[in-house]
Amino acid sequence: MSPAGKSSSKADAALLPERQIRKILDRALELGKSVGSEETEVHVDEVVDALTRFANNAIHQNVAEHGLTVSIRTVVDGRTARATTNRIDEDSLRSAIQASLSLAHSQPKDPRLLSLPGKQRYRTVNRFVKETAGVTPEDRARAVRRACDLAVKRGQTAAGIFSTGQTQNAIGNSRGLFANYRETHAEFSITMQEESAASWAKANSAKVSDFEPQRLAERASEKAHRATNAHELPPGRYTVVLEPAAVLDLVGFLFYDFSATAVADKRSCLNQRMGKQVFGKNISITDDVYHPLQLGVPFDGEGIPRQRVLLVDRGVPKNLVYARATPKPQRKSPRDTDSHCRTNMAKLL
Amino acid sequence: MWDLSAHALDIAKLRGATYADVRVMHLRQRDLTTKNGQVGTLAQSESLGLGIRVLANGAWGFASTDRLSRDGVAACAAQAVAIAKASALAKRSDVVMAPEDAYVDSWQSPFRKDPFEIPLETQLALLLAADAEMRRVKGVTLTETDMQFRKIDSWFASSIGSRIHQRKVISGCGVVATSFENGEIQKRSYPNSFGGQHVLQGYELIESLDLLKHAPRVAEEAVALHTAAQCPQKTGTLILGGSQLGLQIHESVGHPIELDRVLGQEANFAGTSFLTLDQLNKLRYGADIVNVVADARLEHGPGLGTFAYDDEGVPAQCTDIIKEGQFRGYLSSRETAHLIGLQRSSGTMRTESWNRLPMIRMTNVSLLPGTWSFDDLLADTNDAILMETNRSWSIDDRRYQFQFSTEIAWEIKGGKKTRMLKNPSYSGITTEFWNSCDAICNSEHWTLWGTPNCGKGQPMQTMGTGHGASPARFQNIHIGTAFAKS
Repeated sequence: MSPAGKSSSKADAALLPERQIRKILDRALELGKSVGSEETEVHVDEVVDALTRFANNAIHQNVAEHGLTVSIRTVVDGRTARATTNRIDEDSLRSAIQASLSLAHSQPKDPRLLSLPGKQRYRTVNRFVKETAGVTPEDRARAVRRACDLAVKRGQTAAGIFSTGQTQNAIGNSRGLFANYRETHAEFSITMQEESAASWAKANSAKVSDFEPQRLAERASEKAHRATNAHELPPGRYTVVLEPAAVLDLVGFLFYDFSATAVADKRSCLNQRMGKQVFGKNISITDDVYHPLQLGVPFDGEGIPRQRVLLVDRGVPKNLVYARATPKPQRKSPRDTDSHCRTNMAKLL
Repeated sequence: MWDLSAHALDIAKLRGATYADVRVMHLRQRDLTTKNGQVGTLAQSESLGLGIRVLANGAWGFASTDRLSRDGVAACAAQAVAIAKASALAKRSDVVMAPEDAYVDSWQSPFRKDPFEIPLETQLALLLAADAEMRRVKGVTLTETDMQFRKIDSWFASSIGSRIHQRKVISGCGVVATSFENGEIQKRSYPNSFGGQHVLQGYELIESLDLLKHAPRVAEEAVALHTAAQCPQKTGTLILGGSQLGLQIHESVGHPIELDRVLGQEANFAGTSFLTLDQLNKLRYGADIVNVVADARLEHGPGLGTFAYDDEGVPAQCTDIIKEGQFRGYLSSRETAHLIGLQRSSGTMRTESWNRLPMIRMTNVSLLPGTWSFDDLLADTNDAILMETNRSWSIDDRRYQFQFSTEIAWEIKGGKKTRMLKNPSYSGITTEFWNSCDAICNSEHWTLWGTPNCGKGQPMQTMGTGHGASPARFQNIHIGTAFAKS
């Protein structure tokens, strides 16, 4: 990987500085107040992403995007609704607020609607790595070229992606809450095919130098080669060893079932199973956005700080993740929420 | 918009692009949901931006921006060219595209009632009333309804001289009743699962669905499923309802005919295809009565895959995919058409938004109607299982082996629909399945179903596709039980 700034092409665009994000957010809050919104919540989300995609040992897609959205939730007379726009001029923000108010007025009063939360205290999470933000299209192309050359040399066919990007998620409301989170992210994944065999490797991190694309390519290449003489096993019960990524795929199917709302709706596989020995005693699962290997926004869609939650303790489902508005019988204290706007998928380890 | 597009094309050319196309898109969306008699989501959104795709040094580059000033657009075009030049560092050959003419045109999908002009109160009142109808049924533990409306304007311009404006209005709606009892979840949806029915129409779609009539029925069926018998495990005759057959077509015909998958371009994510190039015009895909087309033209119907031009400026077409059982065609782009020696793209490049690269997507991939009335088909069937409304799907990455489950099934005995069955599933191998088809219902039973949630590509894009289908019968199918309490 070339250090940032040494390539001949430019790195992807930069995120707006926080003061500019705050300016957009404050303006939207002011407009909300001026048109009669009793409470207003504003999200400003910005993305600068690039993704280089390769197949048949060559780059076939190579894309970049830069976008910013402003999402405004107004509250009036026990009613709330949301409008989102990616236009940040005064007229567009005003239109979005008016649309949100109009939507809110059109519905029945919701007696359960909570007031917006006030100021919160947040743990410092630093996952913005300049090195990752400085990666250029040429950096990605060179890394892909090396992986593809390896495939060609070994008579294999490579396909995969190398992506890098930056995101910024800010939230503010009329009760003084404000939070902003920036992170970088990088991912390399590769499938190596040899005859009818294929193997896959993947890594991701906030810091691009945490993984080496070429080592992943070599690993996938070696596994694919070893699989060329695979033979079919008859159906039966076997001991199976899964790679971490495969384990994540399985665990991932459970993510939404740990939502207190899913349990309240009686559509979670954990219905009537909380506190019981459901998994093996060697299985513990924690939702922890603060883990050093984790990515993700450390607050929820209402700006509530996320907590570390022990979901499964030695095979027993112990806790769920809650929104502020989760019905009281299930509610303990506010934890992760996905209320109203951003879906914060549980981060599981 | 044309000024901005022209500026982007000029900058791209100046920076060394040999080909460029630009899409400015304005997307507007309204979402309404209810849950257990309360308003769930009430949201509106809009997004406006520009994406430019270029060929430079024989390789592709794409960049997008929401900064629609002349400077913002120029920077975006320059970035696309720089990315293309970087792509050329890892190319094996230059990209060549099948020829296409330039078009200057404007098109709008027909609709009678603009859903954005219908008062929100009216829309919400209908959903809440349907929700209430379902909650009236004892044993229902969760009720959900939804409506979604989209209006999409796109302005396409290319360096070969095309200038095409298209406006699409899309409407969708559905209701779901769920019942939890004794550790088992049963659900019924109308008119389809996973968001209901979605088509290229206005509010007239919602009015045609008669939600209030069907809401109590699906609620009653969801509760009744708890006491229904389990679907038996056996090899036998299967009749699929139209919406489930639509998804069967999507998964076992629509995806494997995507030429980018066939050529390995999706090998790291969506997968490949069993329909290798040597199978074209040779493979016996299905029985003689099986005819499948990919038809993006309006005359096929107002499907989610209906348009006048695709997102690389190729006119909508009807392509034979399976004709009298024989495999006859792929979904292609200008680039992939050239790669396999076709004279022209089949016009299936589509993009989710201005910030996404167009890629090969299904249009309306439909099974053409057969000759049977549904009553005659039942009367002609001595022993079968009729399955309706998808509940889950699973298919391998070459789209060859599959397993589906549906919300409900009915036993057919002696030509009559008899008892209700729960937890039905069936599995098979794609070509064996389609070759076992021995009866397809006629056009009176044919519906162009909308699948609004087809995911593909990296970055992921969600696209709506259309699938026309009428109920059909299949022989010697592995039928099973999707869920049984241990």
